Amino acid sequence: MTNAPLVEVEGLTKSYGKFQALHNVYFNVEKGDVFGFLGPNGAGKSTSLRILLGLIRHDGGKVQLFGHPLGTHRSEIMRRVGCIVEKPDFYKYLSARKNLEIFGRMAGADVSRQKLEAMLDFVGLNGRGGDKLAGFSHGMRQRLGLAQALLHEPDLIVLDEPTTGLDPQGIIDMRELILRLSREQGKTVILSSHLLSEIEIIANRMVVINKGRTMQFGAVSELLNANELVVHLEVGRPDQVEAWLRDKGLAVMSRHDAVIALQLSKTELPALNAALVSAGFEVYAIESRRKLEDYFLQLVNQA
Amino acid sequence: MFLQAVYTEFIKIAAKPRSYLGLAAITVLVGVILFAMKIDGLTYISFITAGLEESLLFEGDILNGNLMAFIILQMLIIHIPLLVALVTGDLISGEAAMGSLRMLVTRPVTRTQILMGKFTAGALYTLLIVLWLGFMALGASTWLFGPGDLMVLNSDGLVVLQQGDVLWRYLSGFGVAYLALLTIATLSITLSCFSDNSIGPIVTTMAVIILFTIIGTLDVPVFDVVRPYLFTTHMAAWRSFFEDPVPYDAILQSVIILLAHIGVFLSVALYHFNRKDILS
Amino acid sequence: MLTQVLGQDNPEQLVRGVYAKMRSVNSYEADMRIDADIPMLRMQQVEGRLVFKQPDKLQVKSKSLAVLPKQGFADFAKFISDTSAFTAVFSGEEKLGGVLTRMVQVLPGNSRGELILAKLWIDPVRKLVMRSELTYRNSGTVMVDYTYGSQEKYGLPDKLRFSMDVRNMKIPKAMTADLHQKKDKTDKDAKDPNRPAVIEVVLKNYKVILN
Repeated sequence: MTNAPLVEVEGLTKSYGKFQALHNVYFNVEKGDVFGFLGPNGAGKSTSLRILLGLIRHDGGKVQLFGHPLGTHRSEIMRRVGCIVEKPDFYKYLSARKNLEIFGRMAGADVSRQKLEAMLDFVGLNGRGGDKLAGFSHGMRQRLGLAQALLHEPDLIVLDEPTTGLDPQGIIDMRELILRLSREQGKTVILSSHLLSEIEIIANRMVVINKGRTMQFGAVSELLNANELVVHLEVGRPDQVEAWLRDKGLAVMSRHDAVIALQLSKTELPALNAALVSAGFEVYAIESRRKLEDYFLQLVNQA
Repeated sequence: MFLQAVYTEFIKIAAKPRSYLGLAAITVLVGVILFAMKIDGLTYISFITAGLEESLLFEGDILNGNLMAFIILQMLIIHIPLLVALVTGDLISGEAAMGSLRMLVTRPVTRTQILMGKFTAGALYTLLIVLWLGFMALGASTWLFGPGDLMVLNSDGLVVLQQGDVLWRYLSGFGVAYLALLTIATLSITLSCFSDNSIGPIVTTMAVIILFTIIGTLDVPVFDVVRPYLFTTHMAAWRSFFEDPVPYDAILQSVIILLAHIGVFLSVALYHFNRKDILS
Repeated sequence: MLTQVLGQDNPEQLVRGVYAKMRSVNSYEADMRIDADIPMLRMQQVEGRLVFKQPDKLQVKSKSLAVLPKQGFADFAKFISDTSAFTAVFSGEEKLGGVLTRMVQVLPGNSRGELILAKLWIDPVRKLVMRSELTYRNSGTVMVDYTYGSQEKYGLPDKLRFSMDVRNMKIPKAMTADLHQKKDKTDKDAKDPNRPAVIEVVLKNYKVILN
């Protein structure tokens, strides 16, 4: 079973009454992955992650972690999983250390003072262990959330929108923490985000879901291939330009007024520009996006 | 892991300021009652014994610690459910409202263990409340008024119980009163599983108690069938230990009905909580 | 005539004779056991020590709450101590427990007192009150049956049985908060709530100090 994926999700469905939240979500996560879970708001990311963590019961499909079905091995699986779902909400009337101790105990972790302090130190909360949570900023809670997710030394860490609400420095710190976990400790990380740039920077593999369906799934480097561009040309006489492009056998995707979108590899772009100019067309603007980026932007705009 | 669940739940209860509200309320109320009785207790007693005292002479202190404890229990036992529900009704829904339930449910423990941990901690808290009430009622009263025979006013007259015959009645009575309060605690925990805000289950628990009490006390034949099965009918079963002779059959019946309620409430809570989608 | 056989014709003299016997005792103490059967008041047997000092100082020493008749115990001895304060008349004869007694009606001279009529059943031979029926202005009638034993010579009974009417208590429901209602009506109170209260006092281990 060494080559079996750490997480396998197939044909996942879930409905809340009449509302079908998930139609068909599938993906798998390999050991050591930093796995991006990308989708616009309301795409079904949180529902999928909550199912993965046993917070929500799924209606259909397969959910397997560490080679075991979630339904029958939940406790065993969760012993190896650390997570932050949505935002980490702690007991406000307790200190950071006590909160950590409570969640650690419930996960069977070592909750010695030494271990707790080391963990607080790791997430950058050294010296704040005795402070009540009521006085913590969102960023500090997020760090403490990460500490509780890591305390029982899990193999898989699931982070739901971990950078939401953080200031720029907080976002950078969180990214670094995640990368350290992956590189230095060999942890497998699943993180969800509605920002492609976020996933692109951290993740090596990803899934894009929208309206409860898996839309794209694979390695980030392949999905965000810099050579496969979607080029938006703003030109004069767009009808003629479109006909010219089709005549040349180029893949025109769409046209909105004077803007024509077509698929192109990065290397072909300078030649196309030169050919348009020499054919006497007026080129006002060229905007190129990677294919997935363009697709995701459309999804976000639709959402 | 279950013990860890109980321990952590108790830490949470112990850290919440509202948990001390019940203990403080009992302390203040007992203090007020004892103060009033110290000042004006004889007037209060003579209201009951005046008829008898025309022809009978009571030798000894009627106004003693045991009587005070009884008066305190009688006055307070109907208010304690609120103090219990204030804490137990918040055990699940409070965490749902706060969001910490998400983190709790993702621990490697079963939801049954989480709920039973909360139930056990709630039961321990209820026990603490009863013990504190007992300590305040019996301890403080005896300290202030001294020991003595207990004269109890039942609906069928006065019963004088000798001092040596009283403690076991109190202990047994506290046991049954605890069972009644545990029924309330279980009801509020069950309601707490259905709610994502902490006030709802507390208010609903009190509403159920009020409704059942009204049904239980309304002398209307239509309610005769249900009355014996309402848990509120058996909430005063502790008092039966102060009757002479003690109606053990009636007490046993009350205990069985209260235990049955606890069993049913807990089963409903476990069924629902195990299937509940944590969306908060 | 039976009265001649019994040798007493003057009722006041008879009462005085009874009192003289009682008066020979300055004070006494005795172990006491009280069994009370009072409507609307259920209590267990109470034990204690009774201490009496002439003329009417009565004290009950008990760890338990004891119930005694308010009247008819010590006040009676005081009442008959002053023969000038009452008028006595014979009102017949009656056999009580095999003892022939003379019934004496005692009317207090002072009409404003609490005791308005006393009816005594006196054993003229032993000069002992075998029964008394005392009627009070406010608290009704108390009937006392006396049984004598070891301290007969001092007129001190081994057993007293008080029987009296007790005003029924009205118990407000709110004061009891007693949700458990008794369904069985086999209870004595339920059967006969207006029966008289009976208090039985057994006295033993007398320690008598004579004058």
